[in-house]
Amino acid sequence: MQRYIRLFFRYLSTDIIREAEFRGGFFLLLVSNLIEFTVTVAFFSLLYGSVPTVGGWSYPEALFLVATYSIIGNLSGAFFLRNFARFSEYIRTGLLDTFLTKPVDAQFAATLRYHAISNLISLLPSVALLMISLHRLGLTITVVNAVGYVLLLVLGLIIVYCLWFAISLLAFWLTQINELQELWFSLYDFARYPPPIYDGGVRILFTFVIPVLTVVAVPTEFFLEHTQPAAIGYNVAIAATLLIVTRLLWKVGLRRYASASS
Amino acid sequence: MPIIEVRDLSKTYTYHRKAPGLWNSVKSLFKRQTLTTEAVKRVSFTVEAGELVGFLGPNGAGKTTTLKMLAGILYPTTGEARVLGYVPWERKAAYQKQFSIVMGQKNQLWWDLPAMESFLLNKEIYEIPEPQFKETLNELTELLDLHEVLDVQVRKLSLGQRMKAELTAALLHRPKVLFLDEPTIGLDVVAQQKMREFIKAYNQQQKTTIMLTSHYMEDVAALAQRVIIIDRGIIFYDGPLTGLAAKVHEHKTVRMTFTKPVAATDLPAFAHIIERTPTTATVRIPRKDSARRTAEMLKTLPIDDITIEEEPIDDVIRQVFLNHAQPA
Repeated sequence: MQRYIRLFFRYLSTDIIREAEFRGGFFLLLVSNLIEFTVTVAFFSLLYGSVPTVGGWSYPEALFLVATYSIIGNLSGAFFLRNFARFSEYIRTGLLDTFLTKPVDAQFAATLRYHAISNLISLLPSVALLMISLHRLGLTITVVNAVGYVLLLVLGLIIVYCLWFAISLLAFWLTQINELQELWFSLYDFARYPPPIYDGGVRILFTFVIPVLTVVAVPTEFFLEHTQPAAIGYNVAIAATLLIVTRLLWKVGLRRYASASS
Repeated sequence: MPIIEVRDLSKTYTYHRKAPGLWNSVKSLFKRQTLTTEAVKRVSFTVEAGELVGFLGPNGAGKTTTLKMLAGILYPTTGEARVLGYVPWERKAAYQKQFSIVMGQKNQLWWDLPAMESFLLNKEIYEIPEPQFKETLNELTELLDLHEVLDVQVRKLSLGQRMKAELTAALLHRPKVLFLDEPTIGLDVVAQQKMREFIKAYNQQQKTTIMLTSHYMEDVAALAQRVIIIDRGIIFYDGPLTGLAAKVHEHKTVRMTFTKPVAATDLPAFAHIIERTPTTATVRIPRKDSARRTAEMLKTLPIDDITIEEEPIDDVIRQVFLNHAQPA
């Protein structure tokens, strides 16, 4: 475990060296993140200009949700994006070979190797928005709130990792799936709106089948003090199940892996 | 006790046949024809500690597939293999710490970073103690003449330098078994030569067991005492390189320069003419009795200079493949 943490930080530090080298790409990604963030916030302020609540959520509550959505989005962008974006290429070109022959868990090395540092910087406005909405809500930060929120964020990140990984794993069967990366982004978009706006089938789909809604909603509701323990328990169970299922899919996929020619 | 033991190893790939064209692509979404190719067919061999074995064969012969199974990258369809006592495709860390595979066409070094960063990562991955890391790195940079490129980004290196850096990265943990898949591919003649010298010296000094694939005959001729020749998934020669030449060739090549013009009809009947001018001739004579026949030519012809050569190893191997291609 300790060794894996050390390795993770070595990967991270080499990426900082790399990004310092390619400043252009770094700033471009940063700017595009900031634009997306601004557009989302502007959308919500326009929406709440004409209605007082959406699905029972007030404007500052919705802002808190958006901030949480954006924090998880940026963290997963920072740690997962570059890996899953490469995943189908690893399989198509046979580059996965280099991970399979080293004494480090190949899933770890293939999915947590690259990092997009600029996404860590775009965390700052998200955190600022979180503070603004807290101020508007008149809520104070307590130890329980803060620690619970952070733990639930981590849980959400684990679920995001698994869902995104599961989509990427399709590459073992389909080989060429760059388009499926887009699928993940459009799925995650559903999480930025208050869950009550979804009804019936859609809600069941995104809560139980592809649980993207709970990823953002559960930490938010915990902090806003209207979460049920059952929802937290559900996320824990989902995260554990998905970790096991994706691990099995990975193993099955490896058996299929044909390692492109020489 | 052999280091590598392979028994009846087979690998079958399945793939889908798709007729060209859009409509056929749409059809293939629903109904596809599944085909299989047997890349490796019941291959068996053993390799002893410290051996340097050359794995020869044309493209698609199954040599890389075999190496990949031994490196644990691919699962075999049937059969068994043990390397250092481990089943490779179980991918035990204890095994992975004792071998290395270098693939000429896949780089493990970080493209955008100096090679040194990748070496430091390998130090972490293989848990190499600091003093050993320093010592090994010094040795390898000395042997491969790599000092000045350690801090240059890999993408800025020449192919030759990059391959040296790849080799260094693969040898830092002092592997007991080394798989080299086409290590000289794409290199210029000088760089190929250097690479061969290094591999040979390394094998002799470190007693590392090396299996090397190549389709350059020179690689194998220069390096391996033993060759395994594989074609279409089947091994059909496993033994010393010299034995192979004797087995396949029935001829030797004789080059002669004459002191005065010689007509074609003056040359003995057993000499098959390859090339001839009035004052020179290159002929092929049967290997059997070659000494006696050469003596006879020396006596009857006005010879100024004469050389007798074995047929080049490429021709030998080509001959083997051709013979093999004929239906038995």
